[in-house]
Amino acid sequence: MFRFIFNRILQSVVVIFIVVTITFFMVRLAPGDPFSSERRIPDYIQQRILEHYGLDRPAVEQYWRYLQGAAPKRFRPDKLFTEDPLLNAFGIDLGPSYTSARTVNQIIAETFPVSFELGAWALLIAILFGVSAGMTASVFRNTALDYVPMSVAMAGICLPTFVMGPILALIFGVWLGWFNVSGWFVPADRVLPAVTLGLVYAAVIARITRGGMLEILSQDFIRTAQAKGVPYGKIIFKHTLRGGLLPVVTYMGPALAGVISGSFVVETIFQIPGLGRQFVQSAFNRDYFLVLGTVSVYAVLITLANLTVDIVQVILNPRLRFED
Amino acid sequence: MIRLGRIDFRGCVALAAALLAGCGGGIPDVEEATAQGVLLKGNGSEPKTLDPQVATGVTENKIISSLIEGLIAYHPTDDELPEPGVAERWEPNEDYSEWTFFLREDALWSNGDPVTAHDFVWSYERMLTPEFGAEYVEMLYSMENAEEFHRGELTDFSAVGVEALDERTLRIRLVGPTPFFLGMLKHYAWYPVHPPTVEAYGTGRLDRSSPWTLQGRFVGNGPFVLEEWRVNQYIRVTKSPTYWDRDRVRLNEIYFMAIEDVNTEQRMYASGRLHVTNTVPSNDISNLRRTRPDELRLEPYLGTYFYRFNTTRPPFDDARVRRALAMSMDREAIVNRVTLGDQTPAYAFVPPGFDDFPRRRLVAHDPEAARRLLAEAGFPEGHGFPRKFLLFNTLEDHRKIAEAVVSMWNRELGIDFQLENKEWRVYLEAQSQLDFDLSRAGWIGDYMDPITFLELWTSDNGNNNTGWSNERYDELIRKAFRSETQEEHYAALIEAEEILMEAMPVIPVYHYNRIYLIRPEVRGWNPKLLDNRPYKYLYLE
Repeated sequence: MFRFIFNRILQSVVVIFIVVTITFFMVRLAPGDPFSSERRIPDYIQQRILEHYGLDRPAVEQYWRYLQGAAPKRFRPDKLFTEDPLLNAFGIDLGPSYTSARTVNQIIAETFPVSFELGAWALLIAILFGVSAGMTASVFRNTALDYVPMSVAMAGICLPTFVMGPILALIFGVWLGWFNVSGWFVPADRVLPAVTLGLVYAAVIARITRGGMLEILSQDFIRTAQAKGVPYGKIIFKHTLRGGLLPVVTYMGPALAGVISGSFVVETIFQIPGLGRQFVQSAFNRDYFLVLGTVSVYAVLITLANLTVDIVQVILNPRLRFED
Repeated sequence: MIRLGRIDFRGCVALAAALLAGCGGGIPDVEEATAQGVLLKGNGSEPKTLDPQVATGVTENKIISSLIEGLIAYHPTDDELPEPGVAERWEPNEDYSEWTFFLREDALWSNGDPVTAHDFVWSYERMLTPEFGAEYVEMLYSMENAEEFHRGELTDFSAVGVEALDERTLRIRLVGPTPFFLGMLKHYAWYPVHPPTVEAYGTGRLDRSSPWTLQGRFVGNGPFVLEEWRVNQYIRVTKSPTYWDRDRVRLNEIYFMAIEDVNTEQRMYASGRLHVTNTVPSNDISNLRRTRPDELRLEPYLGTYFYRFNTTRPPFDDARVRRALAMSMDREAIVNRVTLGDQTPAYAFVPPGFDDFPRRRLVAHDPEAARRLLAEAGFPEGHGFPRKFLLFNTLEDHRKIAEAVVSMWNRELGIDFQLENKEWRVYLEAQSQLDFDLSRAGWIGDYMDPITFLELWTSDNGNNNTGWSNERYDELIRKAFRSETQEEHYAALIEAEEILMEAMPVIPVYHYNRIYLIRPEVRGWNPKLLDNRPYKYLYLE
């Protein structure tokens, strides 16, 4: 198992390196430059700005310098909760941002926890609602308790967050006044964005759970259990759920990636100071280092999520082994 | 028992609410804020910097002008009048080429240091130092030798026309007579910065990404001080205890809320979280006219929406073709049926609002004459007119206007245009490299003088981007920059605008309006052409 994990981590490092490299050159190939504005800056002033950020140097040299800065150089877990954890704990310097008085390190340190928290709430909602709806539907197959949750789930999948978000904000924020329409200040501010973001995944999870459960329920060992007179609740929760949830676990990898990187829309609608907005805005602004920084964070996160999913799968499913 | 239960329940709710509010430090709603003298203002996207010498945007300006004050301040009602700022009085010489400013004794930085003439000299040197790379540095080129110093042709800053005669007397020598100089001085490029603070952070004086502007470090001299900066949430400023005119300042705090999405801003306003919005979604204007007629403001803004030709590409190298397109555009229809915000149809390039500058119709809506011109140019009824592209940056509002205009040209002149939208930075690049046929653009005045609109079209101006040039025009603009009197200055500009509209390298479409919502509690908020708010005059009731 440790060999498996070690190998997978090695693979992840290679993947992240490739992602950073491709992003580095792609973002520079994109048309438009970071310092253009409606009022045009004379070329000799632009030249000074490029020099300030080292952008006048050859791309390969910039790349090398970036890698030197971005490579982790130490590991000091005790410094994780300082002002600049990336630099203090890992020795990572992701460079300046062209559109902020803060460095990329600072921006990530400030915004990542927010997006992470939002994503965690959203996933929690998705799992709670999705799994219970899917289980209900599979147990009461072909009854109203199946059709209603599954129709709602279908609608949930079809309604994009940029439609769902404003509707929820309008109903619960403007009309009923239960929640703030935007912001990230009080705990109640978490509710609407997390529900908006979580509902889509809840819907998908509900459908996957239902499918997985039905497959297990039709298998022989369940019939055997029923014949032996095992209580129905025990059959569902003990024998069916474990196998029935396997597809959901597989889905958690992509879902986590989606929740975290897809939070841009929700963050914009609800005015949340998260990483998703930085990610998209930096691309619009051609804020090269910030694009690279956010992409790297997502790359690390997604590889970690996939690794975790792989491990959990093997633990849940005895038919799988840790193999390279 | 029942009564007790109810009280307990309420107590619990109150306690929970207090806990919830306490742990996040929530923002007050408008009622609470009004009672506390706190203004909640929607301010558009997150500001990039609060360093006045690095900033370039309207968003930044709205915050910086509460934190820093220049020699001349914003007048509460009339943008054309100078209001004493750090300078309590000033004296121009006879031909307005040399100005002496007398700084007030009680002008202090927020750390207690006096604001001196040396601070201004130091600030202007920082701005003009080539390595610093200030984007708005051209504003300072009106000082003698400033451009030479900035271009590196001169290395001794003492030759530049700014000098501290003593602690409280500043003399500025200009390249020539500039009667409108006081208007320019209101621009934030002329604001001072606090030298010891700037020196203390980053790599010092010339670090354009220096973190001196962050919360807890910022030192300014304006009516408010920076209290809190929460990225992508808000910037909170509080009344300054050291500001010279502090007795006049009536607001205790201002929240500048960073709100990216106009629809989110709209919902915040509707739910009582903002006193005043930055803007209004254009789709909502008609609805708001009915539902919030007293709160919706549609006020003239010193700016022009226009189309620019690439005059290096045929057939737009022919002034007759350009005029024909301009004359067949029905601006009334665009304003009344497309933009819907009471904008002023533009029949000249300079927007209305200058007291002594005449408003004229230099381009008429005359499709008949337009057809004749086009026929003269060799395209009778549009026959043989090549298929050209109309470029705009990706935004629904621009598309609507472009569609209307293109259909007008098709109906009146029989010519076809293809719409082409590009992402903002790609669009900017296409414009600056003359890689377009016809392109949408806009311009907002930097200060109150028509020259900020007309200087764009001189041969060597970086914002021209049309390929058009005219010797007489260049000469008139030069003359306008050196005029000793307002009359002479305007006479040159009036003639220049006639030349511009005759050659028509740009088609003015409409003059902008500022469209926003404001609650009745906000007082002292007057329509301003440049949308400059002297916050010290605002109050809530």
